[in-house]
Amino acid sequence: MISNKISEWFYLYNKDIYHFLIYYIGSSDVEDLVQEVFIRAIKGFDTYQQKSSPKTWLFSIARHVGMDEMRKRKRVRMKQKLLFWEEHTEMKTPENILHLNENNRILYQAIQSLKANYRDVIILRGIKELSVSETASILHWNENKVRITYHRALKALQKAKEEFLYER
Amino acid sequence: MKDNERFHDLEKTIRSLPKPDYNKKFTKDAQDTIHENLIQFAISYEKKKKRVTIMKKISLGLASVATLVIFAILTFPINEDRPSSSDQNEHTTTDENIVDDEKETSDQNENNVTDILYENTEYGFTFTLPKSWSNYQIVSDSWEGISEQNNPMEHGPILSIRHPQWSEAKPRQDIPILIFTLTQWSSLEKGEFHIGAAPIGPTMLGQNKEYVFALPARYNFAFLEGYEEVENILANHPLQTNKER
Repeated sequence: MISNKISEWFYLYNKDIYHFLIYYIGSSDVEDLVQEVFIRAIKGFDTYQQKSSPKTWLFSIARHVGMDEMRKRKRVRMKQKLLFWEEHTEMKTPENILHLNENNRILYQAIQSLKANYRDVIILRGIKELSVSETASILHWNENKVRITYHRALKALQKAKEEFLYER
Repeated sequence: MKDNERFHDLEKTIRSLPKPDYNKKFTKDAQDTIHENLIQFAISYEKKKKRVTIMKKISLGLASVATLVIFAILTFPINEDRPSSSDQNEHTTTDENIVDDEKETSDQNENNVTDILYENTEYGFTFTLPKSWSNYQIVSDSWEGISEQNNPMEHGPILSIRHPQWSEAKPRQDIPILIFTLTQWSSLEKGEFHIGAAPIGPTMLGQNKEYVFALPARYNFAFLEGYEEVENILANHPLQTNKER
C-alpha cells in the first residue's frame, strides 16, 4: 500500500525536508512545498527503485520541487518589475525565522550568492550533513565529483563571505 | 594546509547554522494536517490508478476482440476463395468434360451423405429425399380414370410419400406418385380417359419397361405447409427407374 509507506516516510523525513527547503528556497513558508514533495513521491511511487534509500529519493524530489518553486518566484518577481508594481509584504526569510546572528546572516547570504552547483552541495553536505554517497545519489553525480565540487564550493564560499564582510 | 584548516573552520560554522524551531513553526499539528492530506491523496490516487488499470485492461480486451473480428472477417473469405481458385487451375489444365464429371460425382457423393433413398422394388423405382424426410411414411391409395362418358374405365395405384411431421391436425404436403402401365399411359395421352377434373394431365416423372410414374396435376393446389420444399425436391429429378424392368 502506497499510503502506508508514505505515512512511514513522512514521519521519518518531514523535518529534514522542511529544513532543507528553508535553506534551499531562502524562505520560511515551505509547508506547502513539503506536502508537494510527498505528493510527487506518491505519484512517482512506481518509479522508486528499492536499491536507493527513501531518504535520498525524497531529497532528490525536494531539490526538484525547490528548483520549480524558485523559477516560479523568479517569474513572479519579473512580472512585478515589468508592471512597475511591487508588493510590499514582509517576506519571512530564514534570517528572520532562524534568528541568525550577524556572522550566520553573512554566511547565509554568502551561501545564497553561490552558483547552483555549489549551493546544492554546501546545503546537502554542509548544512544537512549528508554523506558523500548520499549527496552523490541525490545529485546524480559520482562521489568524486561530490568531493571536488564540495571543496571548490567551500573555497568559493570563503571568498564570498570575505567579500560580504569587507562590504560591511 | 592553511586552506584546509580554514575550510575546516568554515565547515564547522556551516554545521552550526541553526535548525528551525519545529515546535514554533512546523508544529506537530501542521505535520499531522499535511499527513492527513497526503493519506487522503494517496488513497484517492490508488483508487484512480486501479480504475485506470481496469479501463486499460477492458480497452485492451476490446481491442483484441476487435482485432480478432477484423482478422476473421479478412481471413475467412480468403480461405473460401482458395478451393475455387484451385478449381480454376484444374479447368485450365484438364479437359472440361472430365472436370464436369468429377463435379457430378462429388455432388452425388455429397447427396449420398445428406439424402435418403426410398426404394420401391414392386414397381422398380427409387426416390431421393432430403435427410429431413427420414422416417417418412408411404401411403397407398388408388386412382380412377374416367372415360369421356363419365364411366370409370381404368384404375391403378397411387403412392404418396408423406413427411414425418405430417399430422391430421397439421397436414403437410405429400409427394404423390401415380403409377400407370404403359398401356394406361398411352390411353391417357390419347385422351381416352382422364383423372380428376383437371384440364391438364399428370406430369411424367420417369418410366421403366412396365410402368410410367407421374405427378398428378394440381397436386399442391391446397398450398399445404412444405409445398415449396416438395417443389424443390421434384425440381431435382428425384425419381430414378430400374432400367432392367
